[in-house]
Amino acid sequence: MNPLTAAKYATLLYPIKNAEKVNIGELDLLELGIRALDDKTFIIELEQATPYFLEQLTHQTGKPLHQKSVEALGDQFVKPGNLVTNGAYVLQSYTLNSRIVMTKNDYFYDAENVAIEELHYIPFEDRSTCVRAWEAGEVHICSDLPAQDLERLKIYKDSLRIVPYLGTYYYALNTTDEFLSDPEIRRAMSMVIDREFLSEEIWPGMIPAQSLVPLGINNYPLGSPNTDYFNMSMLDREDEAIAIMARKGISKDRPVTVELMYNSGENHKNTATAIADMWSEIGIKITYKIRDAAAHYAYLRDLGEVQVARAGWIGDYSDPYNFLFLLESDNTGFNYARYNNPEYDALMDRASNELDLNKRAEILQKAEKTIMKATPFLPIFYYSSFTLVSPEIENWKSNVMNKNPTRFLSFRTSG
Amino acid sequence: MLNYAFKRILTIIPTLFAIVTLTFFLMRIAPGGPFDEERPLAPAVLENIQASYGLDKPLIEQYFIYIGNLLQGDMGPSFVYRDKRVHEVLAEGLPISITLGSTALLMALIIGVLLGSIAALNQNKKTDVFIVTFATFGITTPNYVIAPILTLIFALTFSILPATGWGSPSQMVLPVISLALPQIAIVTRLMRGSMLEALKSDHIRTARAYGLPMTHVVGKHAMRSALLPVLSYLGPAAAALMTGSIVIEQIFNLPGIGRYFVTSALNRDYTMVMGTVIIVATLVLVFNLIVDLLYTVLDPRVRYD
Repeated sequence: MNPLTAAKYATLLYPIKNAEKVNIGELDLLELGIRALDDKTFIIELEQATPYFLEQLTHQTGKPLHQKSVEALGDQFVKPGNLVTNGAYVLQSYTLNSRIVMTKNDYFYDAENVAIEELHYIPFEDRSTCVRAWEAGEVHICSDLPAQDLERLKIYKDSLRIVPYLGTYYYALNTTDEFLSDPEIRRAMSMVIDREFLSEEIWPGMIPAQSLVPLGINNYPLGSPNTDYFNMSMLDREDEAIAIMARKGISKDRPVTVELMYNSGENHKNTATAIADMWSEIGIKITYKIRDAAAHYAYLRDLGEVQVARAGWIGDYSDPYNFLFLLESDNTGFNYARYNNPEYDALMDRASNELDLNKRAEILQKAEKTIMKATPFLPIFYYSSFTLVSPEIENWKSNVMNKNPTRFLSFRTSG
Repeated sequence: MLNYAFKRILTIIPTLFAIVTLTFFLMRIAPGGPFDEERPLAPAVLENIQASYGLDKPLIEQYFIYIGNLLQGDMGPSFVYRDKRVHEVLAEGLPISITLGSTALLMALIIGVLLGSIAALNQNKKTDVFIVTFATFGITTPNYVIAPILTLIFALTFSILPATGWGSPSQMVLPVISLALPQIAIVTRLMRGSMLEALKSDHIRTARAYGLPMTHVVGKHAMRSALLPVLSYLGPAAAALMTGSIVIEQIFNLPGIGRYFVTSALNRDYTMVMGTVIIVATLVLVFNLIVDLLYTVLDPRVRYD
């Protein structure tokens, strides 16, 4: 919360009173809505109700830092020996790209229930290498797996964990573009995408998406709204989409050219090619613009000219708001579709002030229904997390955030 | 010769300077910057962060600041590894890459020269056919194929060697073999060709006519001229080997510097890109100099005055 430190995730804390103004330098840090009551208690005042705030504090921005050592050591405070923590483990050593070693923190409040004494994190540049290390017994847990190996890895039965993950892969359609401003055209484009095919052939293990908010999210008891065409067969969907486009005077023989932008990557390319093929049926001819990730996102951020752009979103915390806010009209950084619907904004505003979680979920569902109908984003699939967990490890619990703190894990005692 | 070496070293400095300058400006032409990711930063935040790295200053001013720091041995902060300077990052990985690279190089030189000579001495016989087949296989099979196969055999099936990691000698075996194999193959083929040629030359025929023992003729006289093409190849190859291989590093999970050549460019980690370019350029220039000097030792016709 300081304009000089320019923290990347500072915007996440904007629900705190005056946080935004402090972070851009309009107010002094002392004006921030946080104050200490006594040595062990502090109070956070919020801008508005923000029912997901507790959930949001589980994000890394909610973790405390040791003020004195940060001030004294500057950017060296993270080095082994310097890093002060209240967590279950203490940093022992850190070799770049090689290994992070941590040992149990005896001063941790729940230290008696921490079973594993020493912990090694090994970064793997290549996921296949991690799999080989796991198979050779060099690591106990491999936290991301190459999709093409999933079929083969099924021989490890329960050790292979494929679990829905809190993220959505989508295409943004620029609603300010002349051609794409027509919601019926956007809807037709969404209808002809065979998401089952994409998930099976290109993204094994991923789940075909029928909404922007992924499955299994918290504070969304009824889940995402149903969108009518997902109940129809692929053939019927295609027929209806062709009919919609025909009414606009567009067909396979009289196609319109649309530019699709994505960041380089084998599977992004395969996805784009497959979708371009599906769209060709309804008279949309695709030209591609491919950049590496840095250039792609810089272009989107700078509001460059765009028609269709590939994007993805991984939830920061488990609440539908963290997905739906992407399309708020004042969210210029993330709203790649440049969607501007005052009705939607009003619903989102109402949701932010609704303390009754059930009522709030209803409002959010209504908001999601609005965008699924208007289709500024074309959700394609929900991400899944893939993990290999050694049979020696106990208490691994699969969850949508894919978080399994080591303090709760233990080694299976033989016998 | 000392005089020559000194002159060459003097030309290395302006060459390096030109490379650094060119890279600095070329890199900035690429769209996007070190802070563009899937999650965009708020404009105010982006401005602040750029200011703190001096990226808001005019490019030419940034260039002079960079050169100034470089002359003092500071390659600047890495934009990705926030708590480290670029030279610290490179200093951690470089020894690993050099150890790997030089071991592989040594292996390639010894085995390649030996196999190449044996093949040449047994031209068109079974041994020759066998060695040439091996060499062709080695050249055409990329190491991203060899390395996983070796891992599958020695680490996963027989469990006699570790599959990944760095630190113990046993962890070096598979990466060094994977790295050396194509080099052995190339050196073998080069050596076979040049040895065949050397054996046909006049001075060798003369030596043999005098009745000198074959081991002496090959080992002393033919070897010297046959080594020259191998040496010309090894100069740049050594620089390439010692700056690490991203493929081998990924497959065996080694913390070398090969990865930075790719990741730093993709991350627009400007200072890191500069660091890697400086290292490669220096090594290429230095090894070429060493090769040129070795020429005078091996070939009496080459003189630098």
